[in-house]
Amino acid sequence: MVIETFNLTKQYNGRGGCTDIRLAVGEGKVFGLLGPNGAGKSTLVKTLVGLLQPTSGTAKILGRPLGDTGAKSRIGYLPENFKYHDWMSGLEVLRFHAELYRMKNPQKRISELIDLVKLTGHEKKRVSGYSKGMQQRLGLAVALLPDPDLLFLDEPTSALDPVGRIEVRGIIKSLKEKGKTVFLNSHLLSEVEMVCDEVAVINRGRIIARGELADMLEAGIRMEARISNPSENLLNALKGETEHLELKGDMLIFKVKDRRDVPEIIKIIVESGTLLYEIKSANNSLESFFVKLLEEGDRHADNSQILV
Amino acid sequence: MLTIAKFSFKEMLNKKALGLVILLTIVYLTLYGFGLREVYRHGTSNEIYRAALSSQLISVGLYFANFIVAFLVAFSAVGALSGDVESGAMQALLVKPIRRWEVVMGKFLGIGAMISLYSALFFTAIIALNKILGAKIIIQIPNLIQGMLLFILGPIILLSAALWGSSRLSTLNTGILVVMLYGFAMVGGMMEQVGSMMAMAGQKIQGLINVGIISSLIMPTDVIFRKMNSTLFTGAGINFLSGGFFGAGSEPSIWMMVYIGIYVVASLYMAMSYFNRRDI
Repeated sequence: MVIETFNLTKQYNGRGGCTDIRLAVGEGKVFGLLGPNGAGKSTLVKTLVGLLQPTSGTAKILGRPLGDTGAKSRIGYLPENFKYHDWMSGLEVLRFHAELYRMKNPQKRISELIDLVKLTGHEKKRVSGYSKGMQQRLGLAVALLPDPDLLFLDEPTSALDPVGRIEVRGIIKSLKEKGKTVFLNSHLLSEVEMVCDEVAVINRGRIIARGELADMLEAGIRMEARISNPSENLLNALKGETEHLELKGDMLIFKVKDRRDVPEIIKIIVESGTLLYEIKSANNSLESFFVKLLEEGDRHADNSQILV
Repeated sequence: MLTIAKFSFKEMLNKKALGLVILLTIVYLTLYGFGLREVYRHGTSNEIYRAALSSQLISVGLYFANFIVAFLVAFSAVGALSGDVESGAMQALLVKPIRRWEVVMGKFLGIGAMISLYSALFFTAIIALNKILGAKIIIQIPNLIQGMLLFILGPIILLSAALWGSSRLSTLNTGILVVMLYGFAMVGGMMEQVGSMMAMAGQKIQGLINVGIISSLIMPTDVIFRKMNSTLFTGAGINFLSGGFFGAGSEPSIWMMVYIGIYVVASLYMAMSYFNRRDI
């Protein structure tokens, strides 16, 4: 495993932060950590990269303990809120960080990265004149400097325009193709949905769900069908095929475990003679899954972890 | 560590504070030089008197030069660690394959090198102005070099304390702490000199001397200045600067020098130790 955490906890004076985190991220995976603002995402990432001291628990990064200098030389990190020294040019920032990585002859790599993050023509300008988006691009270039085996990205596109976001997604995908592991921290669900293999959802400092993204999206699909005058027989037949069946006016609402069950449901409705006007899935996106998880978390407040 | 030191040195060159201090230095040296010219032009031709006057004027010049360098330390060092933590730049730095103590030591070496260079130039400028404008300087070369090193040591002491503050406090609080400590040492040192002068006049005011000793223990910048004066002007069996606010009526003992060494090392050790545990 590239990242393994064992009941990792980081709290601030006994409050906040993240609690009892148990995660395992395999090599070559793009892992997404989702959560609302203040859920503990950045705390977890900062603990993993050694910026925060854990309150309890342990973790291993690239098989080494947290803060290990050897592991750090193989890690890239783009912080969420940061500002480089504004008296330097972008090029100087990259040279300085390359020196910290003890890179020999980094000029070629620096030039490649300037091109990759689209800072060509701006690299000799002082960072003080950079926009937030340009700072984020520079931060990404710094994080990619050592061609890291593990890359932590904390809200990497928060300051970028839509084109910039697409470019970053492209970079993440190309890293995945090279077998690199990416830990993506984001509250942008669509971003996570588009690039991640695995996802964990964190709320109030605890992981409330984790698993393969594909499984998460498939788990418990809520369907809505607009029909007229359903017979008792139809409702009984559907009860055997669906979960949480209820009729609200002319809307039949139910849940199916698997998307592949949907054609069979449609067949039952049509064969029963009931008129079917429309059918749609109500939560086939990560967004719905995420919102539902948080709502359930609020209702139950037991914060037990769901493995999908 | 050397990468951080090199970076910190360059960072200081790019700070507005350095430009401001350079401007302040030029204004100060101009005024000081003008004053010296007037004094030496109209002063007595008595050699002994001229030597005593020169030593007083050099001492005054160095005292305020020391003050300006202290400002440079305050401006540049109080945010050395905390400033980068507050801006988020430290986050990108500390995830690199570098130990946190190396960051602290790198900052100390980089800023220290710049402060030392500035202090050395300022010291040389004060002595050179006096020499050019007609001072009767009887300082021996080894004493001059030793004096310069002691002149540099003062800001280095302040730098070590500033780094200690910066490792755990905010930039603003460290700034307040450093200025307060420096001011405290300055006033305490003057109190001690007054106590010494009164003691020489036959009055025993131990309380004043004690204030000086305690302030020297808390921030030994003033005491090191007295030691420098003593080194510069006590030569060939003659002490040309035994009294005055800027004088060295009570010369610090060798134990005080040992204490200063421990003070700098302990401040840096505490800075490294705390910074190592600090959440960024």
